[in-house]
Amino acid sequence: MTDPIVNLWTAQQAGARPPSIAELAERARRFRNRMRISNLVEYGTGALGILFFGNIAIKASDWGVRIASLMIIAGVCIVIRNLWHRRPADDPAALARDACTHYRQLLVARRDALASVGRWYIAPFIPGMVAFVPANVLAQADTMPLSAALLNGGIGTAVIALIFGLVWWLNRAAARILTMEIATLDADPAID
Amino acid sequence: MAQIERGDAAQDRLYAQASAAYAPAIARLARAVEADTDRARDLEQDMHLALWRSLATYDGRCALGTWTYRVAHNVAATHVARARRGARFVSLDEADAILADDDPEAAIDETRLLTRLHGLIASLKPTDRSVILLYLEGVEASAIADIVGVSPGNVAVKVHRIKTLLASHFAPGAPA
Repeated sequence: MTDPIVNLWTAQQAGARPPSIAELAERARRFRNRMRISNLVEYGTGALGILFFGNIAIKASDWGVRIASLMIIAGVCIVIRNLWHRRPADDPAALARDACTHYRQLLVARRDALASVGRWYIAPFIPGMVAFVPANVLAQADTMPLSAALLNGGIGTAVIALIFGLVWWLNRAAARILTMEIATLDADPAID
Repeated sequence: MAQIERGDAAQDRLYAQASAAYAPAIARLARAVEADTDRARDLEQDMHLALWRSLATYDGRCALGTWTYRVAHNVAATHVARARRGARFVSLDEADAILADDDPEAAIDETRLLTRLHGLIASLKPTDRSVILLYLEGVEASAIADIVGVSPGNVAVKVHRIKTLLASHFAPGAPA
């Protein structure tokens, strides 16, 4: 005898109709457009950074600032490359894996991206930033007292360190939560 | 992506079969994991799109129903993981406590009973959520094991817990 709750459950949405192939094709087209726009925003932001520091590299009179700007541009290029390599794979067949395998891989991929954010997102900027701040302090010292230039440099360094530190810490904290979730999943005797 | 543009005839035929048989189940799954009506409808369409695209590589190694449920449940799991990041979910063993006395009148009112059931499903961990949803769809235990990736013995244990939970909190006249 069928459970009455099963009957009640399956009576919902009994008349649901699937979309037509044309509707699906249209949805796929819209999905690709959304991805293109998202990519454009992501890589466009990088391009703006390149333009900004490229302008400094061309116009700055101080060679230290110029070299530091070029190092930052190199860092932006590395991050853009890393983003490209880390973009989600378009593999519709992967969705046909069993639910536990899919969910575990989802968590692992997210955990790995968050845990390594320091290496692939923050680290490429560090050499350029480390070179830029003292070069900028020395350049500013030509037009203002050294103490004021040092103060500016100190504030700039503190703000950058705070932002990068916060990004790193938040991502590591989120990765730790996911690691615990993966461990719980692995410890579940029900899962093959 | 080229496969999508071509709209391969076999892929379309398989999709027509799968969607004709499982469109209501896909609609219920979307509404079980997403409370907002518009977002649930959107998720339902995403499930159909994912199913259609995935069928380009369907090789018959598992039943079409198993394939369809896997794709739909995996899209649902990805959606929940994204939408409810950081939320705490409970196992079937812990579900008894959250159902203690949340709506004593629910057992005599079908709408409230379903609302309560949706609440239970939303609070469950992904594996248990999939198992209860497939049980409610009337899927056989062996097929549930294949879809979820849990051993048949453990599906039997989980289904037993589900039946006990439903009988004690959702059956008419049951103490809530």
